[in-house]
This record gives sequence, C-alpha cells and structure tokens, in this order.
Amino acid sequence: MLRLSMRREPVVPLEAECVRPDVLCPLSVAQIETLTVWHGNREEKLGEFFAVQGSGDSGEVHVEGVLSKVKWLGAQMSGGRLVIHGSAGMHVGAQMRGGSIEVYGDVGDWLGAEMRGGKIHVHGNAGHLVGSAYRGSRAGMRGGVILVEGSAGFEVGHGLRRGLIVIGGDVGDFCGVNVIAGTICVFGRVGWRVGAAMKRGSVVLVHSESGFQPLPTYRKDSLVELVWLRLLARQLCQWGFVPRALSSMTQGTPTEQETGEPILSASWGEQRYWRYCGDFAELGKGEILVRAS
Amino acid sequence: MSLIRITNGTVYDPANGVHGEIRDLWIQNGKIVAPPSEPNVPPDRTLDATGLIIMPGGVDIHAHIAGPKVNAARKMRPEDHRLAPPVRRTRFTRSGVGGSVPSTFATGYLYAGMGYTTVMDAAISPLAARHAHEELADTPIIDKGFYVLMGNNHYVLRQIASGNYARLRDFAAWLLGAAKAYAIKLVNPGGVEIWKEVAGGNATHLDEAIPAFGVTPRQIIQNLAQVAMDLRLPHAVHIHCNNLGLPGNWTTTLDTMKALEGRRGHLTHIQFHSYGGDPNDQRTFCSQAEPLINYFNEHPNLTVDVGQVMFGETTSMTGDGPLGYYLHRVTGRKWFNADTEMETGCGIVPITYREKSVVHAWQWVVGLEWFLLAQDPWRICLSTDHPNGASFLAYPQIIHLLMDAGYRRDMLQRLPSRVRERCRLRDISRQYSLSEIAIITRAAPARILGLTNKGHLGVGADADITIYQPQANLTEMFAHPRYVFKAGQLIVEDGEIRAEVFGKTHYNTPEFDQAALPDIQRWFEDHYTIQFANYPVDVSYLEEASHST
Repeated sequence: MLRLSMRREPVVPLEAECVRPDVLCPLSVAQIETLTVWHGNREEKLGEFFAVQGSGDSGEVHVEGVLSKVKWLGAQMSGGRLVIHGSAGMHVGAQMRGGSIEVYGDVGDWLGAEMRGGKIHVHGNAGHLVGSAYRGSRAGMRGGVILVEGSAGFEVGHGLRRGLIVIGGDVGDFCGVNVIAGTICVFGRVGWRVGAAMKRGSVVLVHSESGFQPLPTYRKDSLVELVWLRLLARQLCQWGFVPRALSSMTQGTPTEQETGEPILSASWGEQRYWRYCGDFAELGKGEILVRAS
Repeated sequence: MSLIRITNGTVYDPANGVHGEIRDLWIQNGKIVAPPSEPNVPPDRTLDATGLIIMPGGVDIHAHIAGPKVNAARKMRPEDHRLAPPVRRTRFTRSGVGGSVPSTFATGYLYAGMGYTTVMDAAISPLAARHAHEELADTPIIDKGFYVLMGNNHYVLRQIASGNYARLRDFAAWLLGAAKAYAIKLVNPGGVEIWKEVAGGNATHLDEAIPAFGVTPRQIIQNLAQVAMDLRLPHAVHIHCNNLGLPGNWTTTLDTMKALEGRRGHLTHIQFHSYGGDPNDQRTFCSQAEPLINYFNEHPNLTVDVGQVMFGETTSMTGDGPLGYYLHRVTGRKWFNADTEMETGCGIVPITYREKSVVHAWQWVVGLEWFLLAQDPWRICLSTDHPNGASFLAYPQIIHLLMDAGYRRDMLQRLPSRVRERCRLRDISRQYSLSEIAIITRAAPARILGLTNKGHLGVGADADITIYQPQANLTEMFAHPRYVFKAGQLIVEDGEIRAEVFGKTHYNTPEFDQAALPDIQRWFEDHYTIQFANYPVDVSYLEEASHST
C-alpha cells in the first residue's frame, strides 16, 4: 500500500494528475517523488507536497491531508484503488476508466466528469456537475458508478450517457439535464428543472417530499412498482451505501457494527412511484420516478 | 542581407520546368537570386541539402482561418480544443490550442510546421473584414489574405436586377478595396438570400429567382465572373456552387460550369458538389464526379480545388446559411447560425466523418476521383476546405493517398461494400509523382491565385522553401519537413519552430469610377447598422501588408 501524506499545503490549486494508482504503483518511492505537478503556473515535484511511503504492490494508494486545493486526483485512472482521507478538490476521478476511488470527506466540482468505468464512493458531499460532460462535449459519464452519500450541487449527471449516479442527500437545480441515457437516484430534495432536455434514462426521487416540480414538457403517466428499483436498493445496501437523507431519519437505531447488518432496509425500492415521462421538448423517452406519498 | 546557399538538394520546381534535378539555390533579401556571377563569392551561410527534396513553400488556396465565423467555431468547440494535442509555449512561440479550429497563433505555427507558407481564407463578409484583418495580423509566419463574399450582397443583387453592370463593377472594386480583400467569393449565390427571406428556403437550381430581387444564381455567377475579369483581378471569381452536399447536386455544378460560358472561374471544394442521387433520399447518394471531370478536362477556363473529406472529427463552417441548417438537421449536433445584414449568412455545425457511413465514404471517394481523373494538375489544387472536409493537418495523408495506390486500396477496403464495389476509384491505379504533388500543393494554387512570386523557385520568387527528408512513410515525410524557409529566413528545423516572423497580407484595390460612391453611400446609410466612414478597413490595419495590384 502506498501512502501519500501532505507535507506542504498548496497556496493555489495543485494539479496532481499523476496521483492515480495505475501510474504510481509500478514506481519506486523515489520515482514517485519526482513526478511533475503544477502548482498554479509553476511546475514542481510531487515530493514537494507529499511524503511518500510504502510500496504499490497491492495496487492501493492512500492520500491524506488538506486536499481541497488538489485537483484531478484519480483522473483518467484505469485500475487499482485510490483512497482519499480528507476533502478533495475538483475533477476527482474525471475521465476514469476503471478501478475504484473512495473518499472519506467532501469533493469539489466535476466529480467523475466524463468517466467511462469504475466506481467512486464519496462519504461526504460533492460539488456541482457530478458525472457531467465538460463544456462543449456531447456526452458526460459513459459508464461506471458514482455514489455520493451527502449532497451534490447543480447539474448532477449533465449529459449522462450510461452508468449510475446516486446522491444520498439533496441536489441543486438541473439534476439530470441533457441526459442521453443512464440512471440518477436522489435520496434528498431536488432543485428546479429536474430532467430538462432529457432524451432517455431514469431519474429516481426516493424522498416522498423531494420538492419535485415537473417541467411543463413532462407528462405524469402512471403509478408503478418496479423490479429494478428493488434490485438497485439491494445493490446499494451491499455496497454499504448510507444515504444521508435516510440516515437522518433513522437516528437512534443501532449501527451497522452493532447489528452486523446494513442499517438501511431496501424497502424504498418496494414502494410505489409516480412515473413522469419526457422531456417532450426532446426525444421524450426519459422518465422521472417520484416516490408516491 | 546575408547570402544563403542551399546546396545539392533535389529540386522540384515545376513552374520552371525543374522536376527532381540536383541544384543549388541562392537566397538574398528574402528572394531567390541568381548564383553570383563571380565563381568564388562565399555565401554567409550554406545549408547542405544532399539527399533532401526541395519544393517551394505550400500554398493553400481555400481554408477558413480567420474572422468571426472561425472565432464563433472556436468558442463553440471547447471539447475539440481539449482533446487535441496541446500547443505549448516555447522560446520562440506562443501557446495556443489545436483541433479543427486552432487559435490564430497556432494556425500559423501548424501551417508553417507542415511546410505551407501562404494561406487564403475563403469567406469573409465585408462587415467582418476588420475582424479578419485583426486575426490575420496575429497569424504568424504565413502570408495570407481573404476573399470577400459578394454572392448574396444586396447592393450587388440590386445592380444585377436593374442591369447596371458598370455600377456593379465599380461597387465590386470599391468593396474589394474597402475590405482589403484579395478576390471575389460567391457562396451559394442567391441561395443564402432566399434562406434569409423565406423560412427553410434555398436556391435549388440556377434559374430560381430570389423573391425580393428577381435575380437568379445564374445572373449572379455570370455578372461577377465578368467583373473579376474586367477588373483584371489576379484570381478569377471563387465560386462555392449552389446545393452543396445534396445528392444529385452534380447537375447544378455542371450548369454552373456551363453558365460561365468561357469566362474564368474557380470552383471551390468541388468534391462537395459532385454527387448523384435523389435530393430527398440520402440512400441514393453516389458519385457523379466523372461527367463533371470530363467537362472540366475539356474547358481550360475552369480551375478547381478539391475539398477532400478525411475520416474523423471536424467542424463545418460556411457562409452558406441553409447548408448549416441542413447539416444540423442531418447530424443532430449543435448549430450556430448568423445573418450578416445586407451581406451574407453563416452556419457552423460539428461533424464526424465515419468510415462506416455510406455517405461519408462516398464523399471520400469523390474527392480522390477528382484528383486522379483530372488530367491537368495545373488546374486542380489540394484542399480540404479546412476545416469542413478535414483539418489542413490531413494534407500529408492525402498526399500519401495520391502517391501510393496500395495505401489507397487498403483504406478503400475499410469502406462499406456498397461504396467499395460500385466506385470508379477502385479501378484507378494512377499515382502522383513528386512533381505533380508540387504542382497541386504549391505551383498550381499560386498560379491560379495570380501570386507571381509564390509557388516557384525561379529568380525573383519569394524565398519560401520547404525541404523534406525522403521517407518510406509519405505521411510522415510531408507532415514534418526537415527545414522550412519563409522569406529567406529559416523558420522550421526538424519540425520545430525556430523563429517567429510575420508574413504579409495580400489584397487588391482595383480602380473604379469615383462617381459611384455617392449612391453606395446613400444606400449604405439607409440600410446599415454602422457609419459609412467606419466601414472600410484602413491601411493602418495592414502595415505589413503587401499591395499586390
């Protein structure tokens, strides 16, 4: 296991695109310390900012420190496991193709932007544009899984093409804007204009008082119970995903350690949902599933 | 200025009848000079070019590199810049972005790095001329210039409608001088104006009159072709025909060729105008290049550039507003549209040419059929209509396709069988020689443009020289010249820019009858959003410009 501990806090954003398991693990500690990072417009060595210990034989990299100014952690990675202890900056796991990232803290904007595969699990909050397309691109996330236990900002899943995004807390406006296909699941409250310009795909709003206001280009079509929602709920339990919006409702119940079982029942997947179809300003094959109260 | 000698290179200078002869070149004051009459004059610098191939610097007759249209495309395609290899700052050069619409500085470096030293922007509306000159001033190394759009200009249409040819000629001359442009350009003559007047409208044939003017595309083409000749412009009227890209448009193109009635005319990106099939059914798309080429071969008044399509991601940009809309409908991709007052329109749509697409495969085939079936290389130029068919960075690969029938066959094998089995291209074994490549990439475009100091290496020519290292991989060879000289200065060495200089802007200001001005001014002040006095581009914008007539 490789451990990168922050030695010097960056004053301006630090672009650390090299911090990804598939790049670091085959290298020796000395080689890792000489890798290039950009501190603002200055080219510096990774070793200036991080003390490196251990070896990469297990394919696992742990990064710790005040990382909120460190950008591009795990970006473009294709394998291995990256664990971030602390709050990371923007573009975590952007364009990643495989492997997994686990963040014990918050992350900035563009989490998993245009990712193709792999899994990201954030235990805190995320910024704007989770799993989004970069400006100008036709498609955002094209595969993989993003789990955020806390809240996220605006434009979650902008241009989502395939894959799963789950937000355990609230989301801002334009959740699921321009979605081409794929699934977004939100446990908390939503902002305005959910699913605007969505072509295909599903947005699931688990909270019975999510604050959802359908766009005029959506049509309420039926009350449904869906098998795939049960499967999704069970899968999230297996991943140990604890959505903040639900855990706040279950305060006082025994913890996982005490019971040896996931604290959350998968019962939300068995409920009835109102299905809204749209966006009829676009292809109109998308759906928003809203928990029936 | 110092005397430079390039020794022992294998020179290809077809304009002077030199086809691969070992010669020395002498350069002084930015020009090619005769060898010193005294045998023992030592040059200040000698470059040994033994085993290397020497050609004049490349001349691109038709590209889109400046002006608001290109700039709109730059803004519209951040993803294209992000995915392209970065253009980093070096000791001599600025940073920039690449992709299908590179930034101004990068455009100059990339062209020069490929051995091209003169590039013409093909479509600038007069209102945008100032902007275009600002950008050209920031486009380093290459010599440049642009053609000004007249085919849908209201004043032009009014003069044609009233039969006042003399006023039309005076206006065209004034407009060229006001915009500091090099040549007259027609883009979908009449069609853009119909599109602006009628929802979804376009000119579908040469005799479809524009509702508000009663003028037909045929009249516009004939009148402005005549104007270009009467004004003795170095370049003929530069025509983007009607119905670009539509199946069955070859008849319109043939009609345009015939409508010139022996007048000089340059038909640009002819590949996009040589399709057979039913206009309403994309499935019937096919090549009709051959009948057009047969007509072209027999009519020396015509010149063309090809506008070759290459597979991959690019951006289509055109003054042809209805075409932009058509592409947006076909591809479903983002679309930019503009209406430039009395002058023209504009459309921009990203496009990905795919090998698996029958239409795109036909387009690729049609371009190569033009190159390989046209008999006189002096009347055909290499172009991709950058960035419409592909980026100019695809030129080396196109040269490779022309010089190597095996490579061409391998690429043809990857295309859909419907195209592969039916195309004329598969029976063509012609391979271009280095001399012919030198013609279609430098000598012919320079001659067609009337740039007497470009495209050749005779005494008095500009010392724009490209020196290639022969290689088995022709794409590599033409992509990375060993040395490039611009105006006698060594600019590129082993693919790296060694100095940043700025080339000249070429333009023409023909004489005209000043008595025409009051009427132009009156019309202008009635209709335009800017003051008449603010319209013409002042020479202070072009301090470095070379005045060519």
